[in-house]
Amino acid sequence: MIAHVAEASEARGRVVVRTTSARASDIAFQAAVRIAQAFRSEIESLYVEDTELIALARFPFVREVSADGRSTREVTANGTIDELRLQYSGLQRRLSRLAASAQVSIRERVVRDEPLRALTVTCADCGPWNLVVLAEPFGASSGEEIAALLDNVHDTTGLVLVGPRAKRTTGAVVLALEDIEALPGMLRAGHNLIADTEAALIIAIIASDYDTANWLDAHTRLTLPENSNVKVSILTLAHPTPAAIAEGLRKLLPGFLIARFGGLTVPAGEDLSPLAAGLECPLLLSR
Amino acid sequence: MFKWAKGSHPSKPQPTSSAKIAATSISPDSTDMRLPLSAAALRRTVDAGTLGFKTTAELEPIDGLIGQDRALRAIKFGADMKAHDFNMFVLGPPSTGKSTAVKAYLAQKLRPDIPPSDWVYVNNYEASNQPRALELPCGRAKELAQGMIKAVDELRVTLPALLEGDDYQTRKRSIEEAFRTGQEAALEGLNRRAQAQNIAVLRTPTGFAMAPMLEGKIVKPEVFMQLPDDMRRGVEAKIGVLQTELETLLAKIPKSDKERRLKLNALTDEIATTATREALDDVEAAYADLPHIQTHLTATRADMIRNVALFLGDGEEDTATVNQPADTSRDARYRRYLVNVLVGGQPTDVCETPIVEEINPTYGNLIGRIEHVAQMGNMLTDFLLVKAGALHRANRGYLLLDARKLLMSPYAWEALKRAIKARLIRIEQPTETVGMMTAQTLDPEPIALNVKVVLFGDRELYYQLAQADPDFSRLFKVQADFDDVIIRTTENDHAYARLIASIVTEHKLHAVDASGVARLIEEGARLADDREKLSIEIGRLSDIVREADYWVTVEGRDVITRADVSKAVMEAIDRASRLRDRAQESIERGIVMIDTTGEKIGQINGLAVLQLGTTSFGRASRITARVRMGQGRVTDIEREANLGGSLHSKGVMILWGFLAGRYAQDVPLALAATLVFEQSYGGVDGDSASSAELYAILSALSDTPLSQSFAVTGSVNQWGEVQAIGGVNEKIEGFFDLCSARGLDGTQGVLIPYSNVQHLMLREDVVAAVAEGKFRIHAVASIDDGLEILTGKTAGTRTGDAAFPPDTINARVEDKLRLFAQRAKAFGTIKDGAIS
Repeated sequence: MIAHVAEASEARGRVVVRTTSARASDIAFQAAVRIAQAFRSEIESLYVEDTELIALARFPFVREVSADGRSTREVTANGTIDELRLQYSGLQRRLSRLAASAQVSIRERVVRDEPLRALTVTCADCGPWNLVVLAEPFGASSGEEIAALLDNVHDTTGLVLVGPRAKRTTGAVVLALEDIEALPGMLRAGHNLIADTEAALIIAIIASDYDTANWLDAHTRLTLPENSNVKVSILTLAHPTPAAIAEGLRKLLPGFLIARFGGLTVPAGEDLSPLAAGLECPLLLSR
Repeated sequence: MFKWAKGSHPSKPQPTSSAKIAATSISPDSTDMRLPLSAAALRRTVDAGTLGFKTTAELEPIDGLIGQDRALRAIKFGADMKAHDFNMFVLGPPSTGKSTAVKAYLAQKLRPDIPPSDWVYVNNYEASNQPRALELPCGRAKELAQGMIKAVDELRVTLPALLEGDDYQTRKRSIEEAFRTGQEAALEGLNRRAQAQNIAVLRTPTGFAMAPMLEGKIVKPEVFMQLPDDMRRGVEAKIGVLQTELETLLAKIPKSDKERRLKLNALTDEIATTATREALDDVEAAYADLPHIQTHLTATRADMIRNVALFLGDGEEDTATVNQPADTSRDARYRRYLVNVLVGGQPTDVCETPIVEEINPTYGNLIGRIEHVAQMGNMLTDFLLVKAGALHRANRGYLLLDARKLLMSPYAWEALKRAIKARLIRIEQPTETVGMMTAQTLDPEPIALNVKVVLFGDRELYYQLAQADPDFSRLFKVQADFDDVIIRTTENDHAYARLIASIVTEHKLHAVDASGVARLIEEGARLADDREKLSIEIGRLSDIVREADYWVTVEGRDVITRADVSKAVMEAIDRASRLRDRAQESIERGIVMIDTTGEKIGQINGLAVLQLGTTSFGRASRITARVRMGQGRVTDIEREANLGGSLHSKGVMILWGFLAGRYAQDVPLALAATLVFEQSYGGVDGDSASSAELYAILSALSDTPLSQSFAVTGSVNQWGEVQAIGGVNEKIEGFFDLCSARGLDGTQGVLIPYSNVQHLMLREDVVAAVAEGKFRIHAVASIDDGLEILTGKTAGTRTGDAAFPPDTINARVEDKLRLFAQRAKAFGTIKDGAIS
């Protein structure tokens, strides 16, 4: 649960931004910077040179097909390394510019490893209170990777993802609430994210029936202090598919969505394409 | 250096009204010229009692001009004449009320048949450097501009809202999902097929690659190489097939992406079409009667649809500002849709025939200009930076310009002519017109021009332009010639009084009583240099009245009187008299030698007028002549020393003709004479001293002394007649002041041409001295008249072919010339009657 993200002064955690390719999303970078700002943390920029890509050169028959499919070429280890370095320079420049404008400190780390292991090692180095931001947009088949990541990377309090449609980081912070026990942690994270901004904090209660929804609503309101500015919105769906939930949440125009992995909103081990299609803001996932 | 302005030509002599000159001698034929003029002949005074009012407060200020009928007729004609080349040049001296009169007349003469139009410049969506000019009925341009701002404001709100709306988003997602699903499904399908064959599809930094896989992991190359050959070849073959599939699949993406974009564009266009139609509805309805505006609005709508992104801006900002649009007119993104109101946007713009006076007619102020703004070191412009010139504002009306200022402004005159000739206002950088290199700028569509231009200038400028520029006469066919004087009649005296009342009213001055008005009328005659006329240089008259008002205010009185006017006149003269006083002082101290008593042979006092700025004064100058036997030549020393002008030389040659014609009919003129203006170092011109020069020569030839108590002015012709000259009043007063300083003894005076009597408007102190017999003014018609006054002897008249009577001046002159001829013959310089 999102209970803590290390502050800069603690030296025990970071907002770890992992990038592996040029597909890294600016929205993911912006989300990382916003979180670092909100939690007064620092960014650990982790660029992974995937060893599997470099190893491809050692297969004599492997050829690279260009992105437009119009040409192929031989793969060489040095060529791949050079391209990865160039890619890293461009990505790092983008992230550094954003961090500098928000006065967030940034540290860089380039490792040649498998992406998952690289993240695990980095989080262990920086942890334990890390928040991991995956820079590349997730896709339909990312569920397994996310699950693996949450399983294996222990020194993290959450995971931030962006979908291919992500386009904003400003706007309301929406908590997709399915389990009342998760509420305090989500609220703390939400309050931190809206601090020093004019953004609203909305609790979207997600339930498949009215009874559950009413129960959650009642307990949520009991949890909230009097005169709280937090809005509560109930999303009751007869068929709470990820696509329907994503559409319902999209209408709230969130600038940040906080949800639990493995629930109705982000089901574990399922096709994430409905969520990817409807999510226009970063998603902060807790275990 | 200044010139001695001798004998500047007086204005054309006007018939002297009867009983105007109360002189002892009033006719050269009937009167003894030796008698001086009476005091009454020296100044035409006005009896305040006859004016019929006590102060100007009783008078109705005059509405318009007096005595300018010819000019006003010309203005009326010029204003009514519709042809584009019948523009006006209003000529005349400054301060005669030309501009006021023209404006007053034109204000009455509005042209309802040609109502003025509003003009706007709008963006040309096909060629943005060629803004389009649109004409609108008067008063409708501003609404168009405001309507467009409103429309853009509305679109800034509605378009993002519509594009964020469920309808659009749902349809958009459907299109994108269809594309993405197809693409991803294909890739996913390939991926699955690959995985089923233990082949991994990997993303490389610049594309895709495939490698053998085992249990979800890439097989290490060294492990793979240890596999049996046939197995390895099998994997390679599988990868080859899959790679071909991948290539085909990826190659299809751009095409399907294009289809996706086209579908999305069509969807966006559909939404934008609805939004723009609604936003522009009001403007289109308001201008439904103007097809060219409709055409522009249609083009605008199409452009808005093409450029929907302009209204969306940054997505993050949209959320925050969607309900509070910033100032559209200041937002660079929307400038293309705004309207530049060139004419019709100012609060002062009214739907009446425009009468525009441009006091600084530079090229830009006249034709309009294209302004630029500096941005990141570059100079940028667009159609909103096109600024109107005076021609735009005066279109379908009148444009009033000062000709001299216009001509002094680089490129302005040529640009004005081009516009009138082409009947188009074409805004260009002035450097373009002379072929100089210029930065890329706008080429705004020209605007049709229908204007009547009225130029103001003096006569000299008019005639110079007419001579030097052929276009001028072709384009300015109406000359409105303002006179600077009017004839003095009882009616005009009263009109003059009302004119003074107008000045009093306009400047909020103290009222002028009848005596003051009388004095001002007299000063008007003095300014006209003619007792029979009145100056209508309103500016100068106004100056005197205002100065008199000042003195009244200083003394705490309520009414301007004759004394106040006289004080104002004298103070003005005094302020400008430093040089006059210095000149006078140098004569009084004997530095410049001028005799005012006694007699001298071959010496006489001439008179000149010195013009300094707006003031002029007379000054005496000693003229001497020496004669001897010679070869028939008068040496004009001024001419020889290059100090004499051509008119002076002409005068000397005329007097030579007189000498030869009168005294040397039957003998050669064996005379050598020298003439000089003593102590004159600044140059001499004019022929007003020619009579004085002739007196000096005749005195020298006849050995007859001339009285030095007199000063003489007047030109002479070959018959010995004395002719009118200019500046007669100043000349008399100049000599009077000199004599006055030395002490008036009753013998001193001035000889003037008889024909100048009608110009006499002498100072009151001069008139008083004459009345008391302390100073004399003689009007002479001929040289003989003057000779007798100057010498006190008889000039002598020849009867038929007979000789002059003995012992007369003429007889002595003739005798001396015969003596010279005989001596010349004795010296052998005359052969066969000709001097060699």
